[in-house]
Amino acid sequence: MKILPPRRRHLMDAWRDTLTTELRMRLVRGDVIGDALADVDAYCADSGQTPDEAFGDPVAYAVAVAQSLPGTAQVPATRWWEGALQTAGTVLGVTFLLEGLDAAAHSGSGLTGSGTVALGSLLSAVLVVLVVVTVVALLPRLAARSPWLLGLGLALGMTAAVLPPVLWTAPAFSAPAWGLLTGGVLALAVWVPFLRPLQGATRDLVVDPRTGRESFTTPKVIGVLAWTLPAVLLVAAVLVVTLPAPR
Amino acid sequence: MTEPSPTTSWPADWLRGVLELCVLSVLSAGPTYGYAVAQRLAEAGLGTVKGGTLYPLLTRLETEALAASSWREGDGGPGRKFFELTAAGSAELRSRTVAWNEFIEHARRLLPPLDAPPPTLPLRS
Repeated sequence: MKILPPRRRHLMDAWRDTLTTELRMRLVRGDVIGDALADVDAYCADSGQTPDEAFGDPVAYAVAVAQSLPGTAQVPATRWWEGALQTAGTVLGVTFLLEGLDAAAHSGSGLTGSGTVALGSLLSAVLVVLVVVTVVALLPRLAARSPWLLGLGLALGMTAAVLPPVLWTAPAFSAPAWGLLTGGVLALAVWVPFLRPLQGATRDLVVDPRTGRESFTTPKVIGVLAWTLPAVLLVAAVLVVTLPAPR
Repeated sequence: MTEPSPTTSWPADWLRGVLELCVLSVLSAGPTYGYAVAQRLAEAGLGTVKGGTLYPLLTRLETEALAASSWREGDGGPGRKFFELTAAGSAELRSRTVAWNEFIEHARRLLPPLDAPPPTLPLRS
């Protein structure tokens, strides 16, 4: 194999990175992307051309590759109702758990102490579900055409989750701490059927079919991201229990 | 290896119409890889077909089960993906060849013979 000069090598890597990103955004499976990259490598090694010379613009090539593939080459997309169920379970589960912990820690009656769920918390659950369902429904088009719109959707989702409970604190209902904690755990349990597919999705690696090894080293941050929700929940729980009640 | 040298630059529309059939025909000679297909097309006088055109076409043939592929070890270099025609691909090649020949025969009959004088428009008085 030829040793390429550094600048040529850099251009080739940039081309491969763009192709990979564009195929990922079109929900193409990691092993299929690895196959497409190996096609490019093999052709360029034979012809002595750069990917740019032989395959043209990487975005246009990604479009052509994605159109030529069968449906089975795509990562199964999240269905809107799955997204809605996961989101509603997460928002309500986190709210109930934190309110339950707050009541148990600060009411003076332990698990039988009364906790209150604000109307704003329920409203945020509804709003976040609406945002997530919209983003999931439009995801393939948004991701392919405008990553900025996708980012805007996610920002809207976060705003919808945070603002209503702060602005609308009127109580929706009260329940004993044990009831809220149980409700929180049950609501978060909606994730259980999706854990295995989620694990598969984070392991959808871009693999070179010639070597069986990863074409790219997966950044460690990808593995860390899967632990974001449990970690945030744990920190919030510790803060709720240890900080004095704001009453 | 050398870059296939284009003998003629054909209109892209013409090439689009016949490229898939020609690739099926190249694969019918036996298992081969992407760059060799491009070379064979160039040698046949079809001009340079870039990897960016060829590979999506080969993938589409696989998707339609007209071709199958497998990675094989290279000679010292990286491995190559070899494509070969399936039974369905061979049948498709035969039927499309018949249809294509019929099509160009219709077109040929419509065109003026090469030894005929160029048509002239009658002068207006």
